[in-house]
Amino acid sequence: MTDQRLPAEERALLAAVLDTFLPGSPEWPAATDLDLPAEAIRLAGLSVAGLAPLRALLAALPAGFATHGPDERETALTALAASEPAGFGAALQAAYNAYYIDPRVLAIVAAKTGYRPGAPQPDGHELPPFDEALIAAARTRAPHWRQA
Amino acid sequence: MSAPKHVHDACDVLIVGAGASGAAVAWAVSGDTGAKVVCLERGDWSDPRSYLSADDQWEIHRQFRRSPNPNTRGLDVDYPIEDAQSPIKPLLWNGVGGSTILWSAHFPRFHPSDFRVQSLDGVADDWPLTYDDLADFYELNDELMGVAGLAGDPANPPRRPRQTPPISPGKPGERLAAAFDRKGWHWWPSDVATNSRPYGDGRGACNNCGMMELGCYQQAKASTDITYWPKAIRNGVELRTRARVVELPVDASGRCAGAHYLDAAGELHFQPAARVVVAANGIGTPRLLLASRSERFPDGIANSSGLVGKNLMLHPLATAIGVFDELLEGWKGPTACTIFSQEFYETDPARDYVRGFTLQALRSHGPAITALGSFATPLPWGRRHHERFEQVFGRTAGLAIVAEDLPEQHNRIEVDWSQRDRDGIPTARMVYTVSENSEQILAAGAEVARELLREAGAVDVIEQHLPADSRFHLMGTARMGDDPRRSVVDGFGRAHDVDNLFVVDGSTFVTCASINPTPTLQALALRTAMHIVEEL
Ligand SMILES: Cc1cc2nc3c(=O)[nH]c(=O)nc-3n(C[C@H](O)[C@H](O)[C@H](O)COP(=O)(O)OP(=O)(O)OC[C@H]3O[C@@H](n4cnc5c(N)ncnc54)[C@H](O)[C@@H]3O)c2cc1C
Repeated sequence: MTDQRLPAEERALLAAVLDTFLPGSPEWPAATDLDLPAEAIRLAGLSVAGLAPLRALLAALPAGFATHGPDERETALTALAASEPAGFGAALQAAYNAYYIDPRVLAIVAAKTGYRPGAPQPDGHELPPFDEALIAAARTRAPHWRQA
Repeated sequence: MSAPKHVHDACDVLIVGAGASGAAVAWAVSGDTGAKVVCLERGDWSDPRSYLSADDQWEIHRQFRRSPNPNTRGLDVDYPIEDAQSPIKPLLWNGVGGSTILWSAHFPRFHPSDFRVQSLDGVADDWPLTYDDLADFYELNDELMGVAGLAGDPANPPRRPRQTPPISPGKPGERLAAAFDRKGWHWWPSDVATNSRPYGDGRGACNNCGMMELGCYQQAKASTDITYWPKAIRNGVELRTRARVVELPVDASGRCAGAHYLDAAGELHFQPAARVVVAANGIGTPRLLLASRSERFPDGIANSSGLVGKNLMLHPLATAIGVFDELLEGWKGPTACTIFSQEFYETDPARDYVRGFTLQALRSHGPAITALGSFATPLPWGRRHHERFEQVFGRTAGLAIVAEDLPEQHNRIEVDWSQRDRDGIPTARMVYTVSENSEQILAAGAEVARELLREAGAVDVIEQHLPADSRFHLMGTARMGDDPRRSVVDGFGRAHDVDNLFVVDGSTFVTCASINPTPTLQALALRTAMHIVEEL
């Protein structure tokens, strides 16, 4: 999805922020690998505050943020988590949301855990019925609610 | 207020709000009584087949379009609630079924002691009724809603067999149950107003999708749009949706004349009524009463005590989430409904606080919401993120610590006449601080929860104190009592000041116990309805 609402410069900054949040690992893709900014912008725009908090965070990033190394970026974002909490929170929420609804990421979650990606309905999940044997010990206790 | 454009024929009973309590009243006062009953509801009907648990982006919808916080979802049927002065945010739904559309359907009852806290513990006030006065109404309500569970809980008075067997606790619940047994602490499968087998009018069984809070696609969960409402409508009740009640006018004798409301097109109607029952919840009810000012009631209708809006109770909550080194698949099954413990429910003189807490077991969430910390503190970001995500996702079993909140007048809903919604009704403002007693209860609960989770084998415990978006219980803002100077309504919900005006939602609670309120507020609503029927 292309987004018209953030100029290219801010989108590039956002990409750097997302990559700092989600740098990836040998088994997990980085935000960059997934082209996350467009989706993150869409999702951040769902909030009643719109993109304003996210843009405030981007505006508060130190000059040259996108060219800094991971340590410097992490330091900058840690500071902004305290000084720009609304923007930081909006960015992190958009990052995690965009990442964890991406089918490529969900496929990894599924492979590692058996989780079934996609809508929980209409199929739901199988669980064994309640086993009354579980309650055997709890049942032996005498009534103990307070008389009033 | 300008003259209404539409004036309707008078009805015998007019209900404001089609949620948990309004639906129960609508059913109970209709049918054989022959009464003409009208209900005005500001929201719409919901279509279970379009619930967003069937959409791939369900985790996103839970946070935005279907957030339980009206200020977050901002739908046109919602009204603004100013919440900057409350650490706990308002969570509710406006529509047929009310907040039960989104609720988790935990269905515990108050204990007999909860109605007598002043006599037993010297705090707050006793209720003007007892558990025994409500017992039959609890049973009737269970039958109409349909409860999954197991009779025989030794921590509670006896009750009839539940309509369907307990919801499966899954691996997280089983882990915790075994730990409770080893500690010798009480636990029992939760009563849940959700079918574990088909029950009720065409309603299905829970298929463990986990996302109760997006509405129940299978119609297994008992939201009142699919339990009470079909029956009430068959009884002849007229339910008008998109009808925003803006004022309850009084007649020359000081009785409530009915309601002024705006329809979907914004046109003003007057619905005259012999009796008016307000069921708009712990925020909507005081808002409407306070907004209904007249020469006779300059501070709002039924407010000679000055207590309308006061004594807001919210059940402050903390959570302790155990991280296990085994996959527990907590995404399977209703997140909040599995087992509970009332080992620490009652006042213990050895402790520094009065009253107590309930522990409710928790499962877990989908990947996105897990990363976001299950509506609390997000998982760490950066180079440690994936390692932590893998440790946590699907490997948690948690406990919610639900504290009994005591009534305090400074905790309140007030209206701000300088800020009005598009209908001209003043904005509701929530002003709330967590009391020292509640803080002590939460601290003690967290300690117990940690101990239990370690016993269950947790390798780590993540604690959250007062997650803002986790409290759905709105109580106390039009309290009941025998003394008109110290309460708004009597034991039947009848306003002391206005003898044809009733309140039936959680606003009437005198105290709030440490459990979910809906079975109690519905039982109270049925009791009020039967009282109304006697005088019809
Ligand atoms: C996400 C969530 C989870 C929950 N989980 C549980 C749980 O597990 N167990 C439990 O016991 N409780 C739970 N609750 C709380 C439960 O839903 C409420 O206690 C219950 O619905 C309150 O019933 P009520 O009749 O007072 O109000 P509601 O059910 O909220 O209904 C009030 C109705 O009044 C309407 N209304 C308000 N103002 C006006 C007006 N001016 N004109 C016309 N109509 C108006 C509203 O639109 C609404 O439909 C949960 C709530 C939420 C949101």
